[in-house]
Amino acid sequence: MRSSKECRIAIVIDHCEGTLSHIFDEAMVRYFSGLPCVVSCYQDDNLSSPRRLEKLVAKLRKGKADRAVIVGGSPKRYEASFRRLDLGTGFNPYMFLVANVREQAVWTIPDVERAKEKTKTIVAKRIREATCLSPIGEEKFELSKNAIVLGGGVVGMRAALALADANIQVTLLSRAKDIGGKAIQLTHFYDRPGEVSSWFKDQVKKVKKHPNIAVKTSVELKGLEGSLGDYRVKVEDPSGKRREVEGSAVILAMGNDVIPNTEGIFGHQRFISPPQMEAMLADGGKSLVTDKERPLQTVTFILDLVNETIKIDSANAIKNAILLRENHDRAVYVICRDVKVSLDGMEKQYRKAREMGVIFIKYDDPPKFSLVNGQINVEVKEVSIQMRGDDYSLSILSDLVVVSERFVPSKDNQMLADVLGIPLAEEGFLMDENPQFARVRTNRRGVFIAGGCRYPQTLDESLVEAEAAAAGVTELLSQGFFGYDLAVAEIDPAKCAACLTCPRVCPHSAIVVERYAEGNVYVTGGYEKDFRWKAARVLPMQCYGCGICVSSCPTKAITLKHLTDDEISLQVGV
Amino acid sequence: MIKAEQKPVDEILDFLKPHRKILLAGCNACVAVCHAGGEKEVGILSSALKMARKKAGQKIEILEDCSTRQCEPEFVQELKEKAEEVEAVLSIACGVGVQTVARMFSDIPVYPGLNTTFMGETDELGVWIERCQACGNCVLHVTGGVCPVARCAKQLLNGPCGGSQDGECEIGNDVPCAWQQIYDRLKTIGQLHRMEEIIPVKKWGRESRDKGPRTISREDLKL
Amino acid sequence: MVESFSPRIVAFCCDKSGYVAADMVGKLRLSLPESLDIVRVPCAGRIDALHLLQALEKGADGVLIFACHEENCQSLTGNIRAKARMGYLHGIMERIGLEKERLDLCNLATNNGAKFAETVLQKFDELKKLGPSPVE
Ligand SMILES: Cc1cc2nc3c(=O)[nH]c(=O)nc-3n(C[C@H](O)[C@H](O)[C@H](O)COP(=O)(O)OP(=O)(O)OC[C@H]3O[C@@H](n4cnc5c(N)ncnc54)[C@H](O)[C@@H]3O)c2cc1C
Ligand code: SF4
Ligand code: SF4
Ligand code: SF4
Ligand code: SF4
Repeated sequence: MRSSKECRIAIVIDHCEGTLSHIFDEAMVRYFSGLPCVVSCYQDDNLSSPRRLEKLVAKLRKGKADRAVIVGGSPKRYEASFRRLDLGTGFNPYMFLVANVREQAVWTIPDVERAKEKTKTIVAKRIREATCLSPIGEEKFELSKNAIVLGGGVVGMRAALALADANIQVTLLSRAKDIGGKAIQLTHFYDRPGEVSSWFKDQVKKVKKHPNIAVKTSVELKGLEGSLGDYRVKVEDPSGKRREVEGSAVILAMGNDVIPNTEGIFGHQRFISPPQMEAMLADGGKSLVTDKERPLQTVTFILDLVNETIKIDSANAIKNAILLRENHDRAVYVICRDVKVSLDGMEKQYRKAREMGVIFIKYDDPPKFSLVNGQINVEVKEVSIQMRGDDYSLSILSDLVVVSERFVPSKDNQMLADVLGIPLAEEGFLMDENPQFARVRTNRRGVFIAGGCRYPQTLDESLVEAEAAAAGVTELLSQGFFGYDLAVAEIDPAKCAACLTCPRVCPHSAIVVERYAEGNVYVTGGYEKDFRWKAARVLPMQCYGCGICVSSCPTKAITLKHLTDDEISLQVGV
Repeated sequence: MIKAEQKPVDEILDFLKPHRKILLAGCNACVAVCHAGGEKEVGILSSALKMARKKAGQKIEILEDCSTRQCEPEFVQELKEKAEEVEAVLSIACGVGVQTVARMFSDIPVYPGLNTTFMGETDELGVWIERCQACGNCVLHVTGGVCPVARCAKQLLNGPCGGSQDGECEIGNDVPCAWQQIYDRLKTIGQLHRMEEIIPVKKWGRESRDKGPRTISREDLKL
Repeated sequence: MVESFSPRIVAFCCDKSGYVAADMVGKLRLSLPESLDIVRVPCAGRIDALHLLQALEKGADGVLIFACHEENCQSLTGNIRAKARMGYLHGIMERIGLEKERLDLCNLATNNGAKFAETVLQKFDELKKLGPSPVE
């Protein structure tokens, strides 16, 4: 806090388009002008306009004041304009404080005289607080237009293409020998009739040919370091050689892993996985008829034994059930807890399937399976029958039973989560920062997630995410630099006890503990030599200024530049 | 390192009753790291004490300070000016710090604001566990890096008791059996033969307190 | 109890929810007690245990925290930190004989102007019954 003598405060009255004029009468203006440190007083009718604010700043610069308190509406009204003020040459935007008398007095206290009294109290407090202000600078650093996409599945490919088309150099890393991922197994999309493999092959070709995309396959992910503008992915090739790939931003698109259900009876050859079903249909259904023992007449899909909250299985089963009825005239049963039809157009597909004779059976108790003369007997209690009070099971003799594979997080998820400090969602998928605001952004600036590693969902949904993630990266990199003001947390290394609380609590992984922080020199009376120890440091470009670290630090070593403890203390007093 | 927790405020209030002006001195080392006695806690405790005394109609004035390390005389010396102004010192350093303050300011009472509890590690933010009892003759090289003195309920030195069950100690509460952990660790690092090494009974003297407080003396360092 | 006792409330408002809701109270022209002081913080996690105690020490009869709904914090855990700190302080308050009701938290969203006003008024009435803070 500066001694209040040095502060020269300008009061700026915003009449908010005349709505507050009855409050700001002569007596009130006199009161404001008489408050300590106030050297000038300006009035305006609408300061929320950036142009008016700029004019005001020009006036302020000519005057004596070095800081200003705007008396008017909510700070939200002015902040967008503040941000547009030229930080370098103008009046520093952090030298403004807003006394929100409109919302907090005039509009909420019906009695005008009382509202005036409250206005006085609020402004007086703000004036005191204004003595704590200090200018906050800004910094920027260059961002090269390159990005890393991890995962060569359909999502990674789409993201890479979108970035490459936006003139961003992309390194596409994939663990598999070739790019393509799991979607290669698909032959049909439920909402895109016709062959998809040609569309798919085309995508692969485009990626490989694009001059802005470098594809590196057969690489194992070993680590990820850095921050926006300087991410480094460590990979290892099959020969064990390690190297680093650099990029300004990263899109994680490693998909999810699947575990086929092969335990016990599920290991029997008549139990197959959805991709196997897909493959059987891909060859025009030849494998459906060439089975030597007996034709595959009855096909039963079993859903919801695993992946209960994921809707892909439902979509897949309905899609293939229709094909089996439509093209091959097979008897088809879908046994599930719930048919999930929330996908675009799925409702219609479900109806179509029913109309074509696909029989849906809902269960509460998982079905039982047994072998009967080479066929699979699926025994299930249908919910509606149970509700009627009857307790018999349906018995479905099936030639083929399609059982879902369990969707599990990619094995790299945990490692990436640890390295980045991104929290994992419950099932172990990478969590997005906040589902309401940004689905594909993570808590780390410059790291985005899309597709199955975020959460397993259908291809269309995943592709939308791929594009959103690519758009996020493009937006960040488009200007060629990242500018940020230093309204962030700052640690005094001399006070830091390296307790590791702040790096643990920071939701944006913006704090590092450095071996020998610059300037981290502690000298006390009685000791000639410098004392050095580890200290924490905030990476300003990663910090979102939430202040969680500040209030968690046991040694009060951290300051939030735009809202110091002193400022809060002044506000809580009378 | 040293882990401590704050004494209940009412207990502190009780022994501060006779005083009207005190120095509340924290320590920014171990006890700060376990969120018991750093600068932040000085502020919190001070505020709570002042409120309680105001409520009781017996205001108290509190000077606040926080040392780099309260177990070093030079750092405690920095508190001198404030200490001369007050009737008593409330230290929220570990028991060692409290005693350094008491020695340095011999004419005023010094009270402990913390219960110094153990030497331990951080399990996760906000959770600390005891790991060493400073027995004076470390055996961790024999026991695979798991301390039987601090972690076995019976402080057994040569293998488990009969109560070890499925990896858990017979005292229950989900406490793992230290000797099971020792065995597992030794097995992992391929040193199971260490189980056969006999650890002799602890020697009275260097390893205990019958000769008074244990002292380490390094002739080469002494001034 | 003095008839004219008007409890002083300090409301810490998260900029992402509570503060916007407080603004909305004005836009809806709902009334708030004059003795309410609003402190704007970037996130409920910014609120230090120290600030909460300071408010009480400096004469607030009650302190309110307005934070985002759980699992909806832009800083992931700010609102949970605030709640945990409040719990810690409740323990201290109990031991020094300060009623726990004097420190409370309300989760809301930006468009909950009415809820904001309601919460403040409820607390106001509650504090009125409780009487002036004994540490004033
Ligand atoms: C986990 C565990 C399980 C056990 N299970 C069994 C069992 O199943 N069967 C069995 O027969 N035995 C068992 N024992 C052993 C048995 O509990 C002890 O042999 C017995 O309790 C010893 O009694 P004691 O009075 O000698 O010592 P303790 O019971 O240890 O009592 C000593 C008391 O002296 C106090 N004290 C210590 N120093 C001082 C001091 N300076 N001034 C004043 N007071 C002091 C201590 O606080 C304590 O209260 C078990 C022991 C342990 C640790
Ligand atoms: S919380 Fe404070 S003392 Fe702990 S590491 Fe961070 S800055 Fe250092
Ligand atoms: S202010 Fe928030 S984002 Fe910034 S370093 Fe602290 S905890 Fe992290
Ligand atoms: S054996 Fe002794 S010195 Fe070693 S850890 Fe255990 S108690 Fe500490
Ligand atoms: S069960 Fe294990 S830890 Fe518990 S007393 Fe016996 S040896 Fe020690």
